[in-house]
Amino acid sequence: MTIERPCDVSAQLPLSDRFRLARRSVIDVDNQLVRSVFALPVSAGSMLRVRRTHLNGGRPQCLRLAAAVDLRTNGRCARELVLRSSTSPSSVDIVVDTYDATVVYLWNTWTIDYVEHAWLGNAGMVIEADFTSTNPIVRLSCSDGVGPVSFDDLVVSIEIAPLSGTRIMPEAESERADHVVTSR
Amino acid sequence: MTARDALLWFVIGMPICSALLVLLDRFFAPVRGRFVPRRYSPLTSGELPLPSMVDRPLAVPARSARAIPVLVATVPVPRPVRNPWAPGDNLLRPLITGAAPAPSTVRKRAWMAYSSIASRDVFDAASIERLERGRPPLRYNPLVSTLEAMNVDVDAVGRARVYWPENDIVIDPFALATLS
Repeated sequence: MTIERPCDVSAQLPLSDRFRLARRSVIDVDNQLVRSVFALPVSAGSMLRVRRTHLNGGRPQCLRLAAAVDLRTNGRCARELVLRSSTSPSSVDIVVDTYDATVVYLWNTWTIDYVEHAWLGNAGMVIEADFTSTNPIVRLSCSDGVGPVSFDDLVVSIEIAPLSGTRIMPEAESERADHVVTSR
Repeated sequence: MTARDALLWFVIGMPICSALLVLLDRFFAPVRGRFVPRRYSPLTSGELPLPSMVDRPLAVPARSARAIPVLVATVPVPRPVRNPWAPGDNLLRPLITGAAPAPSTVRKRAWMAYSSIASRDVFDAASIERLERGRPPLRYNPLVSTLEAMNVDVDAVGRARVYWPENDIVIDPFALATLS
């Protein structure tokens, strides 16, 4: 795993201004790497087991996923998904539909007054990754942009598990049969 | 030529020559512009109409002996509003000239209206100041490493929806399951 060199910017500013001044997606806050976007490497034939382990009940918190390939869950298929705490269950399995290794971008958002915001105020994520085990596990401790920095607004653990069994394509997506990925 | 002949030519020849010039002028320029009285147009002039020109039909003396039945069609003239748009009004309210606002004007109104209800916990002072001036707030997008502005859509009845560009096409796979 590549560790980016943190940038030295003023500690008096909110995290969003520090990301903007550094023009990077990772900064150093109190000897802790804080990211605005995390690029999760995913190999072919994998699925993401997203578990929401902690949620600060003040506002609806969301986890955004974006990739250059299709992401499938709950019968829906898209390249950009949002898992809202108000609608999604605490445990979600997402199939990454790819023949080759790819990258899934993750960041946190939150909803205020029916508007979904991200990368504002003191929004940021602290990543704890364990790539040594059989199924790599990544833990995202997210802070929304409201109020001071608190990385317990949303805590999500993502396990990269191998895809098991043969996937059954929905009938509505049969025209995209060339994207079928079977387990290996 | 004596003075008498000159006077005779002047008395007889001048009207003939004048008439000939008039005929030639009509021949070469038969159509001339007619005088058209200027009419009041509130959509173009921007001036307030005279009281007698607004929604007032022609006055016909009813008991006059020479009165004849006249059909008077009253076409309502749109009254220009005197006060400009203010937050709280409909975003599609016409301008003080009576014209429909341009899309850029509607967006500017939407941001000015949103400045009063925008959450101060989310937007900083600089973003609120931009909203009060009718400009969208900005943020740094790390995915594209540049600043991006918030978007607003205004429907046909003047309702606005604000959103960040990334949330335009995003899909919530569990939204329908929750609604059902």
